[in-house]
Order: sequence, then C-alpha cells, then structure tokens
Amino acid sequence: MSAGSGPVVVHPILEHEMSFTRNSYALEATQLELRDVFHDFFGKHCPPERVRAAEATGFDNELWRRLIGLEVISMGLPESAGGAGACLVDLVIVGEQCGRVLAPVPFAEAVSTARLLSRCRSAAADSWLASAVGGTRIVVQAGDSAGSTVLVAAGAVADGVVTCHDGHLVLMQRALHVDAVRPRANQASLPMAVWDLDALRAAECSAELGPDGDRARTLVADAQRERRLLTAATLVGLAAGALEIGVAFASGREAFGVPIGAFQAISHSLVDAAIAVEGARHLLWKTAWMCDHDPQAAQLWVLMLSRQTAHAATLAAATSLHVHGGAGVVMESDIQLFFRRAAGWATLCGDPVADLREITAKVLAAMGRP
Amino acid sequence: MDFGVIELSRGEQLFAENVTSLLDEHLTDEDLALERRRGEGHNIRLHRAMGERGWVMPHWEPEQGGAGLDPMRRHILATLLRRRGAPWASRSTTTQATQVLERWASEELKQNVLPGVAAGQVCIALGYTEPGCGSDLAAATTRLTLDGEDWVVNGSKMFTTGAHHCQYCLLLGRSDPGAPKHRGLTVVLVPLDLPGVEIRPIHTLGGERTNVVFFSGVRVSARYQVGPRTEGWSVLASALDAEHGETPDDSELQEINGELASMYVEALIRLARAALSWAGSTSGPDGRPLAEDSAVAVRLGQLVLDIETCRNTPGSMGKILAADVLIRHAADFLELVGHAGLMPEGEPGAVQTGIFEWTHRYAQGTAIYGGTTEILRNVVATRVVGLPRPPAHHTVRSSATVTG
Repeated sequence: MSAGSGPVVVHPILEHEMSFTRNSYALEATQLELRDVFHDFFGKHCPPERVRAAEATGFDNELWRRLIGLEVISMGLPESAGGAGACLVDLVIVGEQCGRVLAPVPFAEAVSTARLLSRCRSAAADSWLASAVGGTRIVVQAGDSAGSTVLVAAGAVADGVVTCHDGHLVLMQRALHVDAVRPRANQASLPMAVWDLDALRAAECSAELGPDGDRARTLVADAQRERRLLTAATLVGLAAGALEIGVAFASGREAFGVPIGAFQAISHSLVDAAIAVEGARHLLWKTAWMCDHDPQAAQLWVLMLSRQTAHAATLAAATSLHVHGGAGVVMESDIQLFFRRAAGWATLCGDPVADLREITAKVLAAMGRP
Repeated sequence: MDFGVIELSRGEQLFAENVTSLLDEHLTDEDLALERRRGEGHNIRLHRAMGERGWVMPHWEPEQGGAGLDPMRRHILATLLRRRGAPWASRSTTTQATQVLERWASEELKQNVLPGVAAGQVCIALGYTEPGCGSDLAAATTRLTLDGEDWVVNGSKMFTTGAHHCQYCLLLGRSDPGAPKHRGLTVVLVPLDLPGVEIRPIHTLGGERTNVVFFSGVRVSARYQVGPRTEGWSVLASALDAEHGETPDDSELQEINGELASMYVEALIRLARAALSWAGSTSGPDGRPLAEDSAVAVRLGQLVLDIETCRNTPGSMGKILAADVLIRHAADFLELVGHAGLMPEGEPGAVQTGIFEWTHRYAQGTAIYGGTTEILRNVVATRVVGLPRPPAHHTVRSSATVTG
C-alpha cells in the first residue's frame, strides 16, 4: 500500500463494523539488516564507559562523527535531496538501537530537523542542510518561540535552532561574538541550553528559511511529530536496554540459594516491564508506518505512542534499578544512567495531561461530538 | 509491515454481507439481551446455522464439513462474530477440544465426533479444573478406573462451561495414581448423556453461567480415550499453548494476542464508546460537558490509549495487559459515573444501558479464565523474558491453566 493511496486506519473505537485492516508487523529483510548493523555499531562504539565520559556535556563528538560517516542524517532525506529515501519505519529502527545504549548524540533532533530543512526549498535551508549532512554543523528545532528565551534540549551542541517566529520559519544561528547560548546542567545529562533569542535577533543572527504562514506551521507540526516519533524510538531502545540489564542481574544474583529472578515478586515486576516494552515497540512500528502513510491520521498515534513509550521507559528503568537493590542506587551502576535518561527523554516526548486531553478531543470529534 | 484498510473484492464483500445476514437473522437484539441476562456462552440456533454453512470449522474442507475458507474470509467471519458480540464460550472450548482430537484421537473416534462438530450439532466442554485444582491442573484427582474395556469415571469437574448444552466433555483424569503426578493422567472424551453424570449450574459475578459436573461411576468405552494412557499431560499441552495465544498465524490479518485478549479488547472498546458518549453528553457542575473537564478528559484519553496498547501487545503478554487494564478502567469509570451507574440494563435510568455496571462485574473473571494472570506471568517470565525457573519444590513444570 503506497502513501496516500486510500483510507488509513482509524482507532478501534471508531472502526466501522464492515472495516477490515491488515495487521502485519513484519519487517523487510533490509530493515532487519539495518537493525543488526546499528545494533552492532552501537554495541561496539558506545559502551557504558563512553556514556559516562560524556555525562558533563551530554555529547560524544567522536560517536557523532562516526554516525555522520554512516550517513545517519542523509539516510532519512528524500532522494531528490541527495538522501537515501529511508522511511520513518527505517529511522525508528535506527533510533531504537541508538537509545538502547544511551548514545549521547542528538539523533531525534538532528534527523527530524534535517528532514524539515529539506522541505523548505530555499538557498538558506539547503546550505544548512548540507552542513548538517556533512556533520560540520548541528541543527535542531525548538517549535514556537514567542518568548525571548527558549530552553532547548540539544541546545548546548546546536549551531542552529529552527523556530517559527511571527509566522516565519527562521533559523537562529549561534555566533561566537554573541553570548546567547547558556548550557544548563540537568539530571538526564542532556546537552540542554537556554538560547537567548532576543539577543540573537538583535545581533541579526538569524536566517529566513522561506516558508511562512500556514506552510510554516505545517512544516513545524510535521517536524515536531517526527521529532517525537524518533524520541519515542530512542525511548523504546532505552526501555529494552534497561530491562535487559535487570533480567541479567536477576538471573545471576543469588539469594536464599537461588537466582533472585526465580522469585515471583521480582520476575513479575520484570514481566510487567517487558509487557510495556513489547507494546511500546509494536506501537512504535505501527505509528511510524502511519506517519509514512498518512501524517494527519498519524497524529493521534504519535500522542498515544508518546505516553506509552514514556511509561515503558520509566517503568523498565525504575523496575530494573529496584531489582538491583543497593547496587542500583550507587553512581557506579549502569542502570542509574538509564533511570535518569528515561525520565529526561520522556519529558521531550510531550506533556501527559495535554497529550491525553488531545487524544480524547480527537476521538470525540471523530465520533461527531465537540 | 502493513496496517492499511483492506479493499474487499466483490466476492469478499458478498461474503461479509452473507455473514451479517446470518447474524441479523440468528443473533437478534433479543438474543443478545438474553445472553447478557443468562450468560449461557452459546446460541444454539446461530451455531447450527453456522454449521450448515461449514462456518463452525471454516478452515476445514467441505468434505469434512467445513467451508474451505481462505484467510481473508476466515478473518471477516471471526471479526464480524466478535464485533456483534456473538456468544463464544462453547465455540471456543469446542475448537480447543477439536484440536486435541485431531492430533490424538483414533480415526474411529474422529469419524464418530468430528462431522457433528463441523455441522454445529456437537459441542465439547473442557473438563480440566476441579474444585481442588485450577492453576495446578496436573494435580487433578478425578479417577479413571479401567474395568474391562471401559473407563469408569468418579469425581467432579469445576467451571465446566457449556456442559449443560454440550454433547461431550474432554476430561483429564487420574488413571494411574501410583505414577508421578504428571505421568499418571489420561484424557477421555466423555459423552455427557451417560448415566452417572450430574450437571449443576453455577452463576458468576460477570453474569456467566457455568457448571460443576459430578461423575458417579460413569462408564465410558475405552474407545473414547484420547491419546495414550498416562500421557494425558502431553495430550493437553498443545491445547493449553493454543489457549495462551501462542498458535502462529502468518495471515497478517489476525490480532497478535489471541482470541481471549481480542475479546477483552472488544469489552474495552464498548466501555470506551459508552464512557466517551456519557462524558460528551453529561454536564458537570459548571454546565459544561464532563468531557471538557481536564480530569475526566485525561481518564478517557488513558482508556483510548490503553486499548491501542493492548492491541499492540503480543501473545500472552497482551492477555495479561488487557485483563488488568479492563479491571482497572471498569472500576475507575463506574466510580466516576457515580451511583446511577450501578443500575443494570433494563432498570429505568440505567446509564448507557448498564455498560459500566456490567463491565465492572465481567472484568474480574478476565484475569482468571484461560489461565490466571499470575500463571501467565510465570510462563512469560521463563519462556519470553528468559528469567530463571522458580525453586525446585515450587516448580510448575508446565503452563497449567484452566478455561473455566
């Protein structure tokens, strides 16, 4: 089924009695290969020691160089823009492997923003896109920027931040002579920074990217949806990685003569985390597929996915940490790295109250009620 | 990967219309209301009508009494039956028992029983659980004593759903009490019209009617034995796996978490539709619809999200999740609706035709039937997550479950 070729799924609540849908989660052989390649890559180049080493900045430049070399940015660009034309399902497969090892790189931000730039069709956007693809500059997004400053999750490593200002799509540029980027320490070791937009505007450190009005709003909405989707992918990876650590510990650690994972209090708590992770992963694939085939309809799934992946990641990390007992709460443990990032990345995946309210509003509207 | 809406071919469209016609005729609103009141788990008229069309065993060839349906038509049939709320308990136990018979019964016994099953004339209840054992199924104590060429059955089976209208009971009995626990069991297909069989009704919180069956010196020809003597545990193992939703399907059409989970999701969908409708049409103290109240909207959103999460959770994990989610939301929404929500269907002023009331009572059993969520978690722990087995003296050697 190709993009836009017919009606796409609705939520089961809204399904008509005579509506029948496929239900295939099967990955292509190329996608399985993609998963294996990136699983091996991250396993080799991002062991926990590298994550620890990058805690202060939240960024591993050497790892990012290697990813650029693997064309992680151009992968998701259309062929017309010199990319490989990878679909969002492909990209979430990569994202999961990235999150599984807590890779300190702005994957979701940079990949989604590059796709945004490729849709602007302006010289400025193309120039920045080329830098992003080549790895000489990092570009991320910050959504609406009515305020004078904005706290940007990947702001400490970004060279440019795309925002929508006065109805125009604008790229705010970091400049050495302007003190406008202030990194902020944070629990999740995100490369977070305050960007002083007023200071940058005053210093004329911005570039018009072309689109304005409705087109700008649409592009920003699409880009935010994709950023949330890719962040959700990294969260699924984090959840799976955290669970794996907990299961390994519970299988080896003994008490009362047996591995502690044999006791139901432990095994059942890990099973509940596994249930959340499996559901999150399948929902991730389905949502990515929907974003590829009908972005408008997919918005409801992105909202649901955000909640479910935030839940799965925080549950898996907290459960796994708890299973470790005292060994889990010392700073030497790897699981506390997962725990802090689970909460951190979850905050980048939307707002629970707003998301759940929007889910309800969308379904009610589709049911014909205001 | 593909989740797209399917454009039915003309033939498939006609088939779907045939199915809905059958349902319109044999599963009326009165039938459904009666089922909700009596909880029989079976509609004889509908079942026979399906049998006439080969739709009881739709994947069997016409020569065997089936309809030789392709995967798409089987999917259409199963989906429409589920969406209409067609009673399914006896169809389900019959299908499970039939799988066991197909694999283990003698040709003679198969010839005796299976044509009637396909025709919708013969249904089979499951005689697994006893008053003294459910999750620990291998501890069954119903005695099978060989006397000449007959097995004599003494004991009782519990939650033998459908026994009161089924022709047979697939019974797990202890034939060799001296043998180790899991090696002393034999499976026998017991005709329920034999002397010595006493069936007594049991009514559940969820409004379902099940039974306790007493066997007092019931004499069954050994020709009704299914599989080798002492191998009863192995005979049932594959059926129990099927019950857990592990049967593979590569049609790319089926839900990924099995029949029971799909039923629970269907109950969640009905609850959600009622909750959304109620919140959208009921005003709060400020005169605005409750659906606009943040706390209510958040709860509704969580229910909508949980439905989709359940559908995307595979196998037994999906069943565990669906049961727990249904129980939680059923309680939460009944509380939210308030005391008017306590009135059952039929009572003047019952909210949303008593859906909140019904779902709250129905939900509890979902964490028990077809394997308790604790047993399923044990199975998932070792088989899926890869955790170590429990200590030896508590070891559950395999997935003992009950259907009820």
